[in-house]
Amino acid sequence: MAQQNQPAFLSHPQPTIAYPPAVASGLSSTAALVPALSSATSSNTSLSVPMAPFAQRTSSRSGDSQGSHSSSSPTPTPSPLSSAGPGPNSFTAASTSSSSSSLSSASPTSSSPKMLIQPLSRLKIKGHYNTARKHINRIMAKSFLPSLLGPLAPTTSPKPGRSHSEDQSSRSGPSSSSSSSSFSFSSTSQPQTNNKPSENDPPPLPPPQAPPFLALPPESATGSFPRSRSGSIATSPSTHDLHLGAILQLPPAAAAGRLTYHDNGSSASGLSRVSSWASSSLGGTPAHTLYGAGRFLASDAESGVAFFNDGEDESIYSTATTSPHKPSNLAQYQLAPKKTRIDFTRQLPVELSQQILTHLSPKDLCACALVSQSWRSLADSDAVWREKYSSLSQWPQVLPADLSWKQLYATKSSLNFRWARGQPVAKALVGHQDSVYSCHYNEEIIVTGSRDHTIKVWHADTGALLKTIGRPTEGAGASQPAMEDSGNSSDDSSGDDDEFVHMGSVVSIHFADGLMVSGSSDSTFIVRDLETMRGIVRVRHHTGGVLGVCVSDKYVATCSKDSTICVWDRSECRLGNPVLPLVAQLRGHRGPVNAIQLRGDHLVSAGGDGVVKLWTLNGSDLPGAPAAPLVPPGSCLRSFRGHTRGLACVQIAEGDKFETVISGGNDNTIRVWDVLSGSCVRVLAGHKDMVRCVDVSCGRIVSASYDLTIRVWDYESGKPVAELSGWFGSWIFTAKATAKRIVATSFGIKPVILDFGEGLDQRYLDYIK
Amino acid sequence: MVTLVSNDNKKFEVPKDVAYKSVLIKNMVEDIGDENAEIPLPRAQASVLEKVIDYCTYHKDDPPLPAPVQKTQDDQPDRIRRTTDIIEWDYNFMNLENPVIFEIMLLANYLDIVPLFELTCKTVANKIKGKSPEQLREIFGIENDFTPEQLDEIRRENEWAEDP
Repeated sequence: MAQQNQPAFLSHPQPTIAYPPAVASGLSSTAALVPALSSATSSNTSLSVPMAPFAQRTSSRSGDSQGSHSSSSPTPTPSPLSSAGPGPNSFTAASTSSSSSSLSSASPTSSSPKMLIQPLSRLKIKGHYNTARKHINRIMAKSFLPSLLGPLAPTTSPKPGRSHSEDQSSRSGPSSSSSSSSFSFSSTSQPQTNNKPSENDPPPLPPPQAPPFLALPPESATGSFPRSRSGSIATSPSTHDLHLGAILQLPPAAAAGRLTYHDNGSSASGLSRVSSWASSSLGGTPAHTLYGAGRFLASDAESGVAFFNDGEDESIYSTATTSPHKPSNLAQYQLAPKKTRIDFTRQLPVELSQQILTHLSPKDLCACALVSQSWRSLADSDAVWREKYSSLSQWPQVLPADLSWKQLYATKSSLNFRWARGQPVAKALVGHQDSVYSCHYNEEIIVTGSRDHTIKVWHADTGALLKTIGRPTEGAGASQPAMEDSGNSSDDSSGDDDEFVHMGSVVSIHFADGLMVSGSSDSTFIVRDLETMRGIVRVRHHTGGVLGVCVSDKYVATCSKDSTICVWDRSECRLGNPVLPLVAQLRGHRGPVNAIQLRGDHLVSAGGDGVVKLWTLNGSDLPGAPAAPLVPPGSCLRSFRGHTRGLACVQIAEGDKFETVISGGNDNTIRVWDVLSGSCVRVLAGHKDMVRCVDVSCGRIVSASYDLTIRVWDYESGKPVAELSGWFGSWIFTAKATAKRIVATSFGIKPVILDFGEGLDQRYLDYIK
Repeated sequence: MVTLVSNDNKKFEVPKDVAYKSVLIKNMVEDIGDENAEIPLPRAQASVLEKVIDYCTYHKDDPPLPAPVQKTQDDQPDRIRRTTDIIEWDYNFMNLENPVIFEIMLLANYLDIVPLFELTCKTVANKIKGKSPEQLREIFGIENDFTPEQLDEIRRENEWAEDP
């Protein structure tokens, strides 16, 4: 296949280099292994392939939902692996044909690149052949299903008796249909993510009367009733939720006054369970059960029986208080004489009341907002929430008067929650014809560099392909590139002469301050004007692939497989003035230099020799470092040693102060270094294969690994926050994070946006950096 | 000694370091230039002032508050907002009925005794913490003036806060 185009450095016998020798070898055996794989697929696996382009998905939506609607049996209706697996697929046989046909054309090569963005549902493989997993990942990723093979999760059988048909038919759009294709697997441990509509989506149900997972009280999360993590209770408006929702909206008198249970005609055992719960709670429930959280929801997910005690009505209150087992905290304030029950908000100046409220948690503040009109205006006031927000984040400079601090806090809080839960919405960028090695983005554009020799520029919000720079290699993709499609015809790649086109994989890319630099395995790098993307200068200097590039306001830095780092003065470099003098050549790594980053007049590098180095470009050490004589510019100030194998990535921690550097490599660990002392602050272990990329944003370290996962760590503590798996079926090359999203590229051809802000108010997201 | 006079004309002789816990009194004394002058406090009830003096006496040797940390690009001090850090003496000191606490809060605010003011805020906040709206109405004697529909709407609005 693409072997003749294999860049020279791929075959270089340096296993520490990130770029994939194993890929090449995997490829060489692809042809031989495909039949075996196919048979494995047919014999005991089921694949759902949710990657149908949006257009197809849209047009087939009615059929799809009909199909799934009609099949309310517990048997899932995944889309079969159409052209990819020649053998019959076990689920194809079992599922209804109506829904299979609607998605059956979802092979990547036939998918039309016209639809540039599409919801990406996780793809899961069910089966018992974990041993075959690596082969599948490495081979299928290339030949078909790029980037979409999820890890094999042992799948429990779908819960019998649960009808998902309502769910599917009541929701529309790509995200629901894609989730429908994997819905049967909802009881795996994978996080459910497609509970938000994509932007291409006609608005589905009014945003769940509440983001459904928020509606659950903590009890239900730990309760004993069977609850699939992504299943109907938590995240989708299924029958159970509808019942709960209905109960939640009952007038307080009905909902809270007495023990209200809702019988949806299901099992008597469910009812009796609730009844017994009810009696026990009225009898001797500890105080916190009844009163601790302010409201209490008990529900039986299995039967749809629920019980809501919101305490709104006095009767529940008096019932409880006259109970012989009086909750203790209730007793405490009941003893207070009547005259002490004064509303301080009427006694105190508003500012003082607000001072009191700033000591409360958001949850307590929300309880306060339910007390009375005047309490609500206090509890929702900007003064209070501005103070609360300061505990969550840096102060934004300003918040316009028409925006509320409470909403900002809520948005930030929801965002944090989704990060902690690992619940993004994924979208794929469709257009590249080969693996995507590099990526950089900002609020406006995402730029990716691929093994197909091209650089593509995408709209950061819509995912639309804005421009393709370079010409795809012939034969790189399984099918002939569709050059005439809209994505390619609108760009001006043809106007770029050969001088500014890479002849090898685009393995590194970075842009800042008006310049974009791309490095290639063809040993050159190209500097472009960021605005027009027109080439300014192409530099042939390195004698090996340019594995890392970085742009700052003063320099362009490049690092290479030839073990050197070059720093160039960019001050005069602009369109029409291709001046880029070499300022320094940094030598010291004993092996390829795989990654660099600039910060002011300093640079950090990570080498295949397992060492992180800090360099000075002006001779001075970092501020705060012990006083030392000036050294010649271009000297190595410190080497950070500790990794046991080669390094793939390095990142300077965010913040005004240059304090720590984070590196990751082939020893599967991430290390955090103190740049002043050169000591290792902590080691983040957990990845099971090479850590290929690290990034830091908003107090989170995001790492991408060849173990097919992206992990999120707390920067301060080093504790793992979340593991994002299932989005990639092959090695992940990059994962760059902001407050709201991760853009990741992998061996597959489709970069993926993991968006945590989907569905949240954009006006507030803009203020969360 | 500084002599403080309450609004009901009771006089309290207080050592200077105790009185100076109040930034207001400190400034007044320094303005007058006579450390033995009587300081009239027309907004202070004797019973409440007595409690405040108790507090200042116990805390007279506390180190001054650290300068507020300045957040970048903003003048707002980064207040420490913890409610669990009340020391035992303060906790017992605050074991009072709500109306008294509010009086102390007002007086602490007026006299500009920041630690005492913060203590009263925390104490009241602790009474609110973890309570349901119904309990809060009970504790503070408030009538519910919402309709059930309004309550539902507010609950929906605030569902995000139910996150752990």
